[in-house]
Amino acid sequence: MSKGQCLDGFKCKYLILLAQDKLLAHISELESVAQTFGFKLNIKQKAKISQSTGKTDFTKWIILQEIAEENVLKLMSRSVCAMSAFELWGSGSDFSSLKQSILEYPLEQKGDCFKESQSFAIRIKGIGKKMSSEIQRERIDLLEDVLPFQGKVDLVNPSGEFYLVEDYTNRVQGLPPKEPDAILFGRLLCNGQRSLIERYSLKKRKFIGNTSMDVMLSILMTNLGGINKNSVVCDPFVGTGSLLIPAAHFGGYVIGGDINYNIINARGRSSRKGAGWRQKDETIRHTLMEYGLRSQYLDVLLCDAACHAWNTNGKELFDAIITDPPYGIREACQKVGSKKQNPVVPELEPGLSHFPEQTEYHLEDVFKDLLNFAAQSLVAGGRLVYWLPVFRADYSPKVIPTHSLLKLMYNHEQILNSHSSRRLIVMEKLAKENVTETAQATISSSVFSGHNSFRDKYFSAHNGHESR
Amino acid sequence: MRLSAFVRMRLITHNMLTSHVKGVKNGYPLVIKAEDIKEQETDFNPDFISRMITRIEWPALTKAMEMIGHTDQLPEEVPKDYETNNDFLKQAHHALMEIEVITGSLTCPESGREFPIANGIPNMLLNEDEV
Repeated sequence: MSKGQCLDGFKCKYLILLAQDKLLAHISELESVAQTFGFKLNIKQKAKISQSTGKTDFTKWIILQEIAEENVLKLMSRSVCAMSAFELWGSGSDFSSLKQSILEYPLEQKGDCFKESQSFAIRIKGIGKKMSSEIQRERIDLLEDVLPFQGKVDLVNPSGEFYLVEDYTNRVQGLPPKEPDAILFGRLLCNGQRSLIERYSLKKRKFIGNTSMDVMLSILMTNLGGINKNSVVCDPFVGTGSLLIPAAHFGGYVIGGDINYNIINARGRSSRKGAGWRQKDETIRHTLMEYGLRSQYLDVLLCDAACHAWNTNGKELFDAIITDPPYGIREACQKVGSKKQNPVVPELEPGLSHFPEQTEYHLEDVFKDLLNFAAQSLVAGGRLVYWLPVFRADYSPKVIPTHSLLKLMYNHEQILNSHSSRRLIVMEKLAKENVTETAQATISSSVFSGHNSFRDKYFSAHNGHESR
Repeated sequence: MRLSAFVRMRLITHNMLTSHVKGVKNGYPLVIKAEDIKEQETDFNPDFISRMITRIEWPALTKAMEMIGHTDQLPEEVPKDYETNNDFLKQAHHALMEIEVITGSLTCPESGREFPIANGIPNMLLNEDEV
């Protein structure tokens, strides 16, 4: 039996340490990645009602059961919510029960790690508490009798890396508890994809915009979107393409549309302080080239999401639509149109373009158009992932746009400030047989109707005045 | 113009676009008038091309090739064994991904409305009097 594979008949459990994340989207992300790779998840997660806030607090770790190790590796090859994965050797609510469970872990499963040829390292990690070197040494000593390693200690590049994790997150009156809630021990399998956050950092990227998406969130959205190798991914509000970069990284082919001529054609001032005018290589295509992802670029077009040019008559084009429509705060909500009753477009000499006048694009229409577009152009099982800005006082589930061809999968709130948040909405296209052709998007609430519906509330609350 | 070195429109994109002029019933496919074309090699991914065969309109692709003057490079119909037919997939790959229109226009077949392509980017915006 080679190390790292569960014996026939023995069901390994896997410990996943999670990253700090207010969005609490880790389960959604892991479920989505599992679905992309074709398997189901059996997750054990501990939750407690916090005594101080009354809210449900989830542990910063989860246990995966009934899962093949290769699938754990697949999850970790995509996840930004998961920091590391371990083959769980033991757990307990106190040290003696932990040691007992390590003893009981089958020797055939762990025996190879104790061989003289296998170097090892034991790391001690406290969640919610700093473990001093003294405590670390003490723990390692205490574990000696249940971990009969014969090989050398190698702290830099061991054959086997082992973690003792003590959970002190159940704070009592703001202080970490004296004793940990849970103690876990496992063999490190691999880390997640958080290193990509540094690799694709916006600070180092040349072409960014006012609303370029945070890298961690854009990777999360890619995972929630079920994107895989050879997926065709569209962003109808593409801007600088920040949402398409991770999609390209994971093998998707990306295409985007935007109404803004300057952004698409690398014109105008850079969003970076002091950088002056945009240079000719500030395009999405060039950004992908710089990242070695040139082969994944399909195209970008000048296109109005309110009146798009995609051929959605009976053809399903995209595997995923990942987008962040403008809310009217940092980017205006515009579509082609005129305030005049009968606008007259000037006759131009051949070779010159007319830049059409733009008019208000009400948020209600932005989202209805987006859902209609997704419902028509996504393949069955394809996903729409987008952000919905919400004035928190107005929020109820009725605010979420619906469409009979799209099933709401996830809805995660990211709080922006005391009065506003945005919600990460994930929808999945249903197979057409069950629904009528004339299905249209609806929003049961009127919070998005009218011009600048979100913007007005946002700035009124900001300034402390009553809403107009 | 140097900008054109960085941006172009591919035939796979043309295959996904239609005319959305008000009142038009048959706006697909758009007629391509290409003034400036470039052929640029890209990585051949047979799995991706094979997947795309079911998504695209094959007749529109062969028509597009004719319109830009690349006749007889594609079979009239998709062969039954397309998934494993590497020669066919290579031809499809070349047509879909490696031919790029830099300047030209896309014209609505019914209304005649022209959507210009400049620097390889199709401008699909209608004017304010057309929406």
